[in-house]
Amino acid sequence: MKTVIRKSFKRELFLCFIVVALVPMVITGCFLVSVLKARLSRDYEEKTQEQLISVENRLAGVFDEMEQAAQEIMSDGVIVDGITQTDSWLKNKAYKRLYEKTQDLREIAWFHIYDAQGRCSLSTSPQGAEGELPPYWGLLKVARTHSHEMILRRASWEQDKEKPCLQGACAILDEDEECLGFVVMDITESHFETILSGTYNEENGIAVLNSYWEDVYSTKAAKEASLAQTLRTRRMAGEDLRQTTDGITFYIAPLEQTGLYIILGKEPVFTRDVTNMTVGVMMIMAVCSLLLCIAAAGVMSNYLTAPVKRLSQAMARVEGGDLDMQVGSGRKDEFGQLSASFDGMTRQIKENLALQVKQQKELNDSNIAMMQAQLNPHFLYNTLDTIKWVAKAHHVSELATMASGLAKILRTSISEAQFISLSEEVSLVCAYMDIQKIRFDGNFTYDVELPLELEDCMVPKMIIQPIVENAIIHGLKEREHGHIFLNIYEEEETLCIEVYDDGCGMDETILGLLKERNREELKGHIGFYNVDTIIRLHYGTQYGLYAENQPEGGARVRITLPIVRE
Amino acid sequence: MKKRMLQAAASLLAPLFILCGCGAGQAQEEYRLEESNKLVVYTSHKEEIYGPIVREFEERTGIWVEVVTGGTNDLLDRIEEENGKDSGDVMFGGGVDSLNAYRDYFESYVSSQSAQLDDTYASPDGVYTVFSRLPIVIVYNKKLVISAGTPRSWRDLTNNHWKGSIAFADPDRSGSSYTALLAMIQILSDDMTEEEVMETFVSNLDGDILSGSGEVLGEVTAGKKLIGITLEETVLKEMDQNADIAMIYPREGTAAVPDGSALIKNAPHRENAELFIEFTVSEDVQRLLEDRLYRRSVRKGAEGEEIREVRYDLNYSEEHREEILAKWKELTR
Repeated sequence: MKTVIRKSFKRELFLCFIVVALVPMVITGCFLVSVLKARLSRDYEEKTQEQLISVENRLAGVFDEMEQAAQEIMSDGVIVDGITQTDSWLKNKAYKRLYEKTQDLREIAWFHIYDAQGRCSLSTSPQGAEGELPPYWGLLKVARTHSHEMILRRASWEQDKEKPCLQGACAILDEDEECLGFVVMDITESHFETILSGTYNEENGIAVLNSYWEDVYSTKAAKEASLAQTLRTRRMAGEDLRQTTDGITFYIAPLEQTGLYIILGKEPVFTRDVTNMTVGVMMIMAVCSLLLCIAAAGVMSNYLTAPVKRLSQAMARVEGGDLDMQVGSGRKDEFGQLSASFDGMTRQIKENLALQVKQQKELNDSNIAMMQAQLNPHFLYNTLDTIKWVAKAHHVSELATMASGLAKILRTSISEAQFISLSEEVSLVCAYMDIQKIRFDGNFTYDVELPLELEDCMVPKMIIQPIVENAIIHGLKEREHGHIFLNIYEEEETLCIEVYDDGCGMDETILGLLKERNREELKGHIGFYNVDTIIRLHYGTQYGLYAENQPEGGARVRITLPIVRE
Repeated sequence: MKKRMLQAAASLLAPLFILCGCGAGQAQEEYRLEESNKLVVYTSHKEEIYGPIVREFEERTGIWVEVVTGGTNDLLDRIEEENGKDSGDVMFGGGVDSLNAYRDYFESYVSSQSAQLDDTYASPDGVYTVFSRLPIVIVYNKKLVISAGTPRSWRDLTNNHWKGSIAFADPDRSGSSYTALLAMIQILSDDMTEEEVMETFVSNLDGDILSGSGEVLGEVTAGKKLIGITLEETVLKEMDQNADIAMIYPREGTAAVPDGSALIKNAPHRENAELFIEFTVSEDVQRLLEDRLYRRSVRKGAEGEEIREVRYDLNYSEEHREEILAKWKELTR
């Protein structure tokens, strides 16, 4: 993994970007979600607690009112007397009192008066004074033993058609603490609905449990979720009361002093859907930033590596001798500066080289001047001229030709002019070839093709002669008959000079060396190298000398030059 | 490099997730129940019987009771299977003969109130503690049988007069039916052999035998049968709602085999289980049985109306069960 990444600048960048972009994003994302979650849950919990408290307060208030009413009833002699009355007029009086006292509580509970044996004697319930409660059992027993307080119990007998959920009871005592009867209050399901209405959100389930977590009253929602049963089973089994598989969250509040518990079941604020959604959004964001990282890594690495690549390519070309190479970056940053100094460096090298050539030329010039000083060239011309005329006079035409050719070559090579016209150059080459023809006993012929319009083109002097010399000495060596063809033409505004021979062709290694411009190894062919160098120095690298073998045998050397006229 | 980074990221993120995760557990500790506050009761009683008793027990003792309901035989099989491992604490319900048959899976316990309890069917070695007496009675439809013409005795049931009009459940399926059959054999044994009793009775049933004891009352109230043999409790309950039926206690006396409770072997909450058994025979519960649950108390000097009882031979009934049922099958085929 590490090595794979290390191998590419792009991948390194990509990894960097991922770390820089993704890690903070994921961290902040998680942080935000959890903070949001915590905050929302807290708010939600607070709201739920408020609801719980309001339910609690309402129930506590109702129980207080009931207890007060019970106290009033107990202290009312008429009602207490009515318990054992069979006289309908007195009973009626007792009933009137009972209804008076419980007037405001009709919506909250049914009030019954039981005698000491647990028989119902008076009742505000529409079912009338019916039924019995065992005084040795449950509600009445506890009410009897805790005689000065109101007892609340989950109702256990189905005595009425409308089943009470919760029963409250107080024992009625006389001065001697003898039990005269009981005030029993039934809170039915519809009473509970009335009591609790407005204290909680309809969509939440409310359940009232007794101290053993048995269902006293459940709203429809709570019944459907079987809140009470589930919680009791879990508590019995010692399981977690809240379980992750629950569709709802429970809030439990004990109701002080009554032994009752209020359970509120609520849809959790962070459902699986919401959590999935947030995770989904985060994933999408992560993927987006991943793509962005890939794109940015690509662009960035190109931006960084492109100038480096260009610089290294330029360097390779300069190493190959192309000193005209310029990077020419338009950038202003460090890469721009680097390119500029590279360009400056190649320019400097080029100038130095030119200076060196110039110095060399000056040295050559001074050598020639020295030769001229040693031997008056006019003396040589005149001598050669005299030889020519003597030869003519004696009809030795070959001698005359050689003398006049040599004179011509001598004159051109020692003249101070650097450039001569193409016609002069060609006649020089012809003179050279004529001399060589005589030297080699006429075993080769030559042709020259020079278009008229090119005759006045100016070229550096003595650039064709070394090629022709090479063709004669190496190409046509040991040949009975040879032919040299000098073809000059214009092509795309470039002057092309081609020298063909039908000799043995050039050695491939020599051709390679020529291509590589390897001066050291080009012994014996140094003329080629010189011609090439002179042309490049004068006209630039797009011109020069190119040599190749012809498929039908022999070599072809081609010189390209710009067309320059005086 | 990557691994180190992942570790670093994980260590950064870990506290966040811990932050989110908490908050659910705090209610847990507050509402943890001590094992010493629990009791598991297996019961074959109906909710109307065990409900008030279990709730009152909870209220009085503060012990949380988990109730496992089921048929007597299912629960006893379960106890046998569990064989004292992860089992309940108390088997509440089931005839004492059934409880006695599974004596290997119960622990002996003699109630501190045993002196106050009727000892007719008391377990000599404390396998079970009796709970309520369940006399077998003859029920009849008042509209279809004039009171002068009602059967008065077990012997009457063998009378050809009732041929085809007796509702009786298959003793192979109903425990109370088996008890009734055995009681009849026992009571009529003076002048009839076991075989004679069964033959005449089966022929009187005229091939129409009900599949469960629950059907007996329905057949009689619907008038399909004129008389039936079933438990007093079910008749009393029905009589509260339905004026059409009445019952008689056979003149020779009847069997009132009690049901009971037993302490399951290796009970995890043994102390609470003992408390519960004590509670089932306490004065209050026994009084409640008579007052509201149509059952007869097992306490001495209980208020219920005196009836003539015969001592049902538990041993004989247990030992000859297979044989008698086989005979019954043969006769009814």
